Amino acid sequence: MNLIIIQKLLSIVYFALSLALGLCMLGGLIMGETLQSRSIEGFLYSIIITLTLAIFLRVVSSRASSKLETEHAFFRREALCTIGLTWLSSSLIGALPFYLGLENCSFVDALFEGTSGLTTTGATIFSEFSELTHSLFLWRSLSQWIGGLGVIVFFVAILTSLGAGAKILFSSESSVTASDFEQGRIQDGVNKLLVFYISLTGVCFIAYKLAGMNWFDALNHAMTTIATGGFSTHTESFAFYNSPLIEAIAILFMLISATTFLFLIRILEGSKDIFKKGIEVYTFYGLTFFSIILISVLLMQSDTAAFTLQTFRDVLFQTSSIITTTGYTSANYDLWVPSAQVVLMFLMFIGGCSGSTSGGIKLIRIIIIFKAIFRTIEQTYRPNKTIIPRLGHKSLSDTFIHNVLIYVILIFTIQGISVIVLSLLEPNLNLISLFSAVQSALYNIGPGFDFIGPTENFSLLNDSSKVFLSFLMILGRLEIYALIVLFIPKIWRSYS
Amino acid sequence: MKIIIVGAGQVGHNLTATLSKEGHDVTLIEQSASLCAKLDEEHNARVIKGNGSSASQLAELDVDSCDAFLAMTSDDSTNVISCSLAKGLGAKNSIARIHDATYSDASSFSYQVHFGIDLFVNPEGICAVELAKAIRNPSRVAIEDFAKGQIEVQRIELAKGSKFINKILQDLDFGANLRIGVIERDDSVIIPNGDTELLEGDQLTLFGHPDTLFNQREKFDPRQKIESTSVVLFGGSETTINLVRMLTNPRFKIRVIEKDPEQCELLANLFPHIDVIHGDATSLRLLEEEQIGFADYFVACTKNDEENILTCIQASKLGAKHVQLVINKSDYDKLINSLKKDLNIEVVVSPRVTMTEYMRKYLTNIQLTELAELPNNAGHILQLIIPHNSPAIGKKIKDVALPKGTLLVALLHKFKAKVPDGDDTIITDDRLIVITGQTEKKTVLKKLLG
Repeated sequence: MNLIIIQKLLSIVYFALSLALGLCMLGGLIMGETLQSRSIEGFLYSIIITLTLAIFLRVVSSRASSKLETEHAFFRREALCTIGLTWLSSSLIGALPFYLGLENCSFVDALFEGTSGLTTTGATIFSEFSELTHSLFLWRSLSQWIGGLGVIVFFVAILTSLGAGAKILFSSESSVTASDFEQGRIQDGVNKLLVFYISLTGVCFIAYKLAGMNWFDALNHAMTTIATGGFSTHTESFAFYNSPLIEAIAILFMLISATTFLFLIRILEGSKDIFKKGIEVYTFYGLTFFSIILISVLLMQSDTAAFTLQTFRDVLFQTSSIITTTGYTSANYDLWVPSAQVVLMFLMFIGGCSGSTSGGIKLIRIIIIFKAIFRTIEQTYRPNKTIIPRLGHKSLSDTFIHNVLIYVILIFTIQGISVIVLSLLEPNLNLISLFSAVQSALYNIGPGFDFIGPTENFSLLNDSSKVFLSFLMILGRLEIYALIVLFIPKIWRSYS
Repeated sequence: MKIIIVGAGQVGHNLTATLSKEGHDVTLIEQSASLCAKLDEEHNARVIKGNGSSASQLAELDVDSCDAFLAMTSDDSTNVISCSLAKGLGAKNSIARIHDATYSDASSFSYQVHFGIDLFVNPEGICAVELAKAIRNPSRVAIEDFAKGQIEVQRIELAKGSKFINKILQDLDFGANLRIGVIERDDSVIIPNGDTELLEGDQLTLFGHPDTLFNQREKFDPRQKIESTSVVLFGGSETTINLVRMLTNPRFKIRVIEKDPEQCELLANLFPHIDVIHGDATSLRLLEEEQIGFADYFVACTKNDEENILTCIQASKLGAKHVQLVINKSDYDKLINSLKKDLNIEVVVSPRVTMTEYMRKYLTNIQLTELAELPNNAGHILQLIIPHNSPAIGKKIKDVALPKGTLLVALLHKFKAKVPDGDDTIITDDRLIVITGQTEKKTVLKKLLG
């Protein structure tokens, strides 16, 4: 294990995180917080701690590397460890401002909030936002915005010094592989992605502002919408505005953010043949459309009289918010008929497209699984036919399908075990709450059903279950492997 | 000695050259007419064009009067048929070259007994023995190994903390397959018997199965902890398979790097306990990713000499502690052997040369060979081949009544070597390794050889 390069990369991440913390503090000062206020002090301490860590790692790694020639020894193992360690430690750093800046915030609560931010889950432990200051609101939004694209992508992948190692880093943190890029150099591809991400956020910000939000709300919501995170500056989330226009903008940008970014970039670049490769994207929009109609019909059937234009607006907004795993709320879907809730629950599993900021299993995996199922079914009565499943023009290898199947089985297994663990930690929760709490954390959604439904929050849970759920959030965000390998002792030892 | 060799491939050719030079009466049977003509000019041997698995051909060559019949073609079935025929027709010794390990596995069925073949030899297997020697017991003494590496010799100090200190030998039980052959105490050399007492600081020479030796080492010298050894094999060749079979002790952590995915799968199926890595070990990146620098042994066993050599140099540069390689082409032998030190390569093994050496050793009809002399003229380590008129034949070892100061450390019945105990019976053609004092030598030889 090349610990030196891991230390180096971690120190870069910490430098960048302290910069982000500094930005939030600055924002708070501009919004009228005083230097003596507790939250600004909290930020100051957080920055000092993070910077100290960064400098410490920098010194340790540079001293060691002057002795050893290890610069180039960066392999998959090191990449996975870097990502796992980055996310674990970044979550702890994300918790610092809440812990140090708020009067009644335990460290576990702060950790939950910080992790929920970075992983773009959007679940909160604050029942009232009145305690939160502007700087903390900014930190919640900014951490989601950074986590949306990926901490590593943001800070590390653009480093040219890593060479091909950046490719491994990128593919391990994101659900697309580096080969999906047009560019030969991964850094060029990531730069393009960053520019797109920033401009999309800018456009969203302007749209919110024009639709009537004040500029602070618009900035925060723009960041959490594009990251499909779901943190809001208001306890009531989008119900606070009760404005069809703002909701329409949110729906539009949530759906865009759950679309494969590279697909959108290629369209903007005027590529024509990209339309043939968009099977996942088309399926995503088709599924969204179908789900909205289905839920509307279900609601209409149950109570025709109560189904108004307002209800349809809620369905539109809520379905988009759930399928993109954002987690904004405009209505309490906990009051809907169970059949409609079941549809929402399935959408939570699936999530958006690969290579977007959304969570969930990702639609592409579902498509691949169905192709594999149909192949098997056909082969049961016609075993001699050679069937090669294809995705657009690309044929899928057996190993690829195999990996997808294993991933889905693994995440379901983890989900099942987690429900059992959580039921032991939370003896008072009912089944649906337990199940949806795990689902909400593992697939980075935010709200769940019943006790943790859209109008509730996670503040009433035990400390141990908060830590457990925080872990699940990172596990889900990193698509399991990068985190789980940290706990395999073999990876830390030299191979023999 | 009259020797018939079938097949003039690399091995057969080399054997013909060596054995005929030593003055044996060699007949070579080869199918290719052009090759026959060429070899006929080169060697002082009779070269016959013909089919080695034809009974009439063999009878014509008076196979019943030959001392050794060697089937050395590259085809297992041809070799087995020829040898079985030759033995049936009256050849004294028949030896078949075999590649497929299924034939030499006698755990459920003995192919050797069934076909009446005296010895199966496998060039790759013998190569693997050479390679395994240093890996199994780095501190072994440079005395020749016995019976395909089934018995080895090792010197060890009886160090402070050992439970054996101040114990009388007959009270000690270190299990079968291990014997203390010689004790060096201060300046004297002792050939131990049951009444000998072990003292701290004794230098012991142990004989036994390599694994037993290794496992018992810690009991004699507690400072020597058993540590796991990481072995990286480059190439999944026949030699590799044989080598993995020899390194069965769980302390060996074996990795095989092989290019061909199908061969990888075969290896992984064959040996579930080892790590098979699919990749090209000539790639520096793969070597780094697999951390070859931390490996204790790097052994290149592919069929490609150039890759073997260069990869070994690379591995040694990366920090692998011990580097060994197989050289297939005779042209490189001398060159590599002369460059060994500079290239940091410890062992170079050539299947052809080791095979010839091995055959020569087997075919020797010398009844008495001195393997080594004990220090201070205290005695000898001897190898004996029991002749058919020996007085010891049919007797149990305890009944032979060897004089005190004499020790039997190894016994080879046909193919199976062991450290003998008193209940083993001696039969014709058994090979024995005896340690004997200067004065007792005569009595011993008389009792065993007649």
